[in-house]
Amino acid sequence: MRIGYLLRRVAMLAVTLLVASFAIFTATYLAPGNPLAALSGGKSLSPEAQAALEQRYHLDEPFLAQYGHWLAGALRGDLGVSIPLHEDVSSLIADRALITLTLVLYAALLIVVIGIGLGLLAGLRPGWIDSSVLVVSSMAAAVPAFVAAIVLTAVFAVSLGWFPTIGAGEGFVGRLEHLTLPAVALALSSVAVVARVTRTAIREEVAREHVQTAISRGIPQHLVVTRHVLRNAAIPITTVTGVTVASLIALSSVVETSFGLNGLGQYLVKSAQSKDIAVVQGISLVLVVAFVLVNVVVDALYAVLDPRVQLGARAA
Amino acid sequence: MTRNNLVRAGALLLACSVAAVGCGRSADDPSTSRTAGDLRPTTAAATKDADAITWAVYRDVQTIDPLYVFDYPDNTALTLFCESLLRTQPDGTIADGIASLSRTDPTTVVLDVNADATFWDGSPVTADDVVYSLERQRDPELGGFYGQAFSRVDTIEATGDRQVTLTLKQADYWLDGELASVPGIVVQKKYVEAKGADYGTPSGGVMCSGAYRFDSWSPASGVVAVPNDDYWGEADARVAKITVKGVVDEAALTSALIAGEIGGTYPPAISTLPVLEDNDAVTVTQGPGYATAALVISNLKGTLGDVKVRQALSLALDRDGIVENVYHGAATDARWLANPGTFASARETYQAAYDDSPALEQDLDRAKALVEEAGAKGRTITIGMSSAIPDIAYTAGAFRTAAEKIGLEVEFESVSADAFINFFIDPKAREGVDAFPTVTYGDYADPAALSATVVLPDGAQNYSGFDDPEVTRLMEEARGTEDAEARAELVIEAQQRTMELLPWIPTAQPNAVVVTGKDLTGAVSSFAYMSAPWAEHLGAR
Repeated sequence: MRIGYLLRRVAMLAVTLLVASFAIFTATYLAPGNPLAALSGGKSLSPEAQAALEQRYHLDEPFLAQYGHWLAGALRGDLGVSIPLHEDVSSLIADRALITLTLVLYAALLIVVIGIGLGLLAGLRPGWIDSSVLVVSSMAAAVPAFVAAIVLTAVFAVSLGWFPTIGAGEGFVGRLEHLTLPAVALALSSVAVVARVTRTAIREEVAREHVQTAISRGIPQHLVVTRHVLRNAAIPITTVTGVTVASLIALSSVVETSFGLNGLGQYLVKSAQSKDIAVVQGISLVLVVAFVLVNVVVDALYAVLDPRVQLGARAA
Repeated sequence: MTRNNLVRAGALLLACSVAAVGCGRSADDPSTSRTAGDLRPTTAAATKDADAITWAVYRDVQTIDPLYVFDYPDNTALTLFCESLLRTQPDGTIADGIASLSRTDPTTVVLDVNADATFWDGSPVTADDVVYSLERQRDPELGGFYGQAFSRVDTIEATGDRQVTLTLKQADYWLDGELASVPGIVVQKKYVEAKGADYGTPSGGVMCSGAYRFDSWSPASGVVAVPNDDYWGEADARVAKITVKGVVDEAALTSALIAGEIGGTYPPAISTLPVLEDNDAVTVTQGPGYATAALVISNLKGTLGDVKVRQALSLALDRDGIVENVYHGAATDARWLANPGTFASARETYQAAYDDSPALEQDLDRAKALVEEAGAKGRTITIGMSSAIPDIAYTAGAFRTAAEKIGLEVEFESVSADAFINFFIDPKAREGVDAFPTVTYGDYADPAALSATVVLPDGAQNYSGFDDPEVTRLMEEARGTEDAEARAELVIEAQQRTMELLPWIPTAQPNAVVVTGKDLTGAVSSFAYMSAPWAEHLGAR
């Protein structure tokens, strides 16, 4: 049953990748613009130069032939060559994937620890704590990541000098130092969302009859919270955390741009704009895999959290 | 991301007030404006060695192969460590580089390679390397961007171990400028052949002869150069390591410059210039520029086909607003299509003629009268623009305002920031578009360099089929005239006639700007950084 589930997921992933690769290739191909524009900085090329470059990158061939070239290469593990850089896509992606992965994991950690933590606090402690969490999270939820980036940089990097303003740093400590502000900027609105959903879920559970009964029977509070409240509230909390963490992958490009991080997100946006198809394909596939993996983890968590949930089925 | 400019500006202001980052001066304070008089081509030479620095460019470097280097970031990286046959000096004049140039007759150009010149690997620069470098540039199979520069060259031959002779189809005195810029960069034949398709890419690198040498390039962290201890010429590579890295976001760039994490940058146009000029942590220097901001007239069959309408539009434009709002004073007013920063040879002659040329001042009455004369009242001009590129959007808006004041209508053909490029390279994108704004420059410091691409019938940037026999004659004659003064007279006449006919409408002449941390000095501060080594005197104060 577990094995069957795993095989199903792998087959689904393969199909997803194939469909996504074709859809993305088509969209990039149809998008307005000229892949050679990125090469020349928008200056006009002589017709000879244009023709020579088009031939070099198969741009003069029909659409399906171009996709065929790409797919055949991808199946052999060769993701093709970036047009402006004339460099293997796989090495270009490897360079950047680590930055984005670290950034997203760092932000995810902040979301889980701070978001769920604050939500628990607000849900279990009605009164001024609850109100202040509500007010602060309402404000934080409304701040776009790039505004958070500018303000955080101005305060903590330029004025106070606690953190660097730009770049990804060297070594583990340097990397952590460089990615702290970006991770906070990236996580900020998601922390607020997760905190609010957690708070609501906890309050709903606390109000339920069986919990109230447990409390009235004098069962110690920590037992009530862990056994009754948390276990049932865990499902919506996991869902919203999974969704927000998955969305970080897409949001990361904004933050990467603001902090001069050469990550995948920023690179995907740039490559899509310059119609660098091979790079767009490569990064998209990495992101699709990441997305699917996050979903698998969330699924697995459901099964762990709630014995009534069968692996592979979604809880309501 | 550019869509959010308003929000971004708001956030920047907020950041200024929260963090007390010096954001005091308003952008339209006239004290920020500069005239050509106080532009400096160099900053004071360094006296001490400096630690490793990062040098920012507006996007990541894409190539360092001289065939395809065609935009600010790639030029900045390449000219850091590669050298041309001739050398563009900071003031735009041409000196000997790897070679010296002489002419035995008007169609025979001899290049004598300096006997001391060596590549980074210690091997001498030979005639074969020079021939190979130039032939690569003009090989249509390779699709290099500078083939046009060699249009009057017939053969390129080694006539000695260190001598190369170019035989020309016609005399060509524009060639010197090209050979002092990217088309004249000398690469090592052996190295290029060994690297094949990887040459000039992150994994292949390059082999040149400059005072800094290429060290490494990883697309995610930038192009790294280190001093070349065995440099053959006179230079002083004092910075331990220079990393050329793309920083896309202006706010991030500004913060990093102020925090000292970025050592310097040559921003093409930066909205935070007033902030940087007011901040003690950085030094802003303005120097002569080669770039011209203009409205490209791409269709001479529509409303703008009548020269009177073009003149009227030019007369109605508020150029001061563009200089203030787009360049924050880092531009001089336009009188010609050429930027006065390009005056190098025959400088006084050019400057005197430029000063005598009429300033392009707003004159709505005359403009209205011209529209009446042309019978163009109520007709429409379609301007291609991108509301996502602030400078372009501002300029397009200024033209719309100007047109509406004099009885013309303007429609915008607005596209995304990245699609804006297509107006320049895709005839389909230009269909139905009468004009679009641009900022562009010639390869070298000469008023003819940019103009030739605009006014000549086969010019690379002549989108409208503009063809004036008189302008063409003057330009072609100038190209074949040896004496610099006589050549200048012809170019001056061509410029003046060009300004009457307005194949393009110039809007401003941006200065070159260099921003460095306050401890650094010695960078070239004119647009010459695009053509020649700019860090040979860079170091600590």
